[in-house]
Amino acid sequence: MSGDDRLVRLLREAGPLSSPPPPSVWDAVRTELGAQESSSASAPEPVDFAARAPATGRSTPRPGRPLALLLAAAAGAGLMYAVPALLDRDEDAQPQVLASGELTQVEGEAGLGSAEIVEREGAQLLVIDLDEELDSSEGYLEVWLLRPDVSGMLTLGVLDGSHGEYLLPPGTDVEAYPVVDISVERLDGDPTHSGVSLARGQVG
Amino acid sequence: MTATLGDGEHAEAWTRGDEDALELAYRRWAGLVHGLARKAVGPTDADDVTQQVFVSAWRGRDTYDPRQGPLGAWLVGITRRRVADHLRTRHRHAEVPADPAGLHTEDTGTWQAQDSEELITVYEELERIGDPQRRIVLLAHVHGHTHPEIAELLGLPLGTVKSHLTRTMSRLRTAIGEDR
Repeated sequence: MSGDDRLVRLLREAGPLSSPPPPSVWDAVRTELGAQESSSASAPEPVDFAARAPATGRSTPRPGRPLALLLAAAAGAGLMYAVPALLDRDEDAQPQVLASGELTQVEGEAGLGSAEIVEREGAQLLVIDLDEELDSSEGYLEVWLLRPDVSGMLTLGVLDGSHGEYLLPPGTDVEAYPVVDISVERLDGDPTHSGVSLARGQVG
Repeated sequence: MTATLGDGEHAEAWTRGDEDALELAYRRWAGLVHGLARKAVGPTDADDVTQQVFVSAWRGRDTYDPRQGPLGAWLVGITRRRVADHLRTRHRHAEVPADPAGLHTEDTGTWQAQDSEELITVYEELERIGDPQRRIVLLAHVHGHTHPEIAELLGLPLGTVKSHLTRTMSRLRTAIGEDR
């Protein structure tokens, strides 16, 4: 890393800062503001912030509230910062599956699980479901989307366990990057693909 | 197709006190605020700091002036202040075990307090500068993409990516006082 200036090292060492807080944080924000707002003399109508109905979900924009449209788009639009799970998600809403494929061993043909591209409230996600956890004893598992000839690749994040969900960068063309790849990576600060893949599958 | 988020609309709704604007701000920036807080105060206290950022931001929403910069940059500025408050309080209560910097940070050893301060400055500036420059810098230096990959991902000419990257990195270096 000689020759890299402080700024580059800072960005690289900090890594992706997308760190979704647990739902309890949003609840705490609402609760604290709810108590505040209802006693505020400046608001013409006290807003009971803590009682914002969780069941309304985000699938239909509320009339007269243009921001609701932006809310639906926000999940995909804030690159690397977006809180992927909706805060008051309607738990019954079924995500729309756009594409799916089987994940198999790179060495051999044994089935390992599935990969799906789903659309949930305006955003595309890659959902990985493995039958069993893969062996990451030498480091950690990373999920990628590859071009068919592996001339390009997108990194989506770390796989912890047998299930992972990854927000795709907005504008990602899954047909251009149709191959799902799970690699084993070392903790060496090198963001490039290690070259060791444990699982592959096609979703485009 | 990347939707523009209607920053002007968001800012206007924010100062108007439309509660949708707070929820939208949380979706857009809670991940960033929490990530910066983790680096600065550690994972245990990051939740508290994140809560304080959004509560104080909403209570002080009248003080946000869109002419002085985007909402995201303003929120990162608030993050810096809530982090500083938190560290001062922690220091005062001597909750921290013996540690030369007096701070508990997520990655002990290599990550120092100054790193967190500069990281906050960098991300505040990135929010101020906006897209596509912000995305280009993150794709290049956080996600390790090559210039041609970035050009393809964002649908921009390669030359544009390179010149954006050069200018923005230069501006960020100035922001953290590394412009030699």
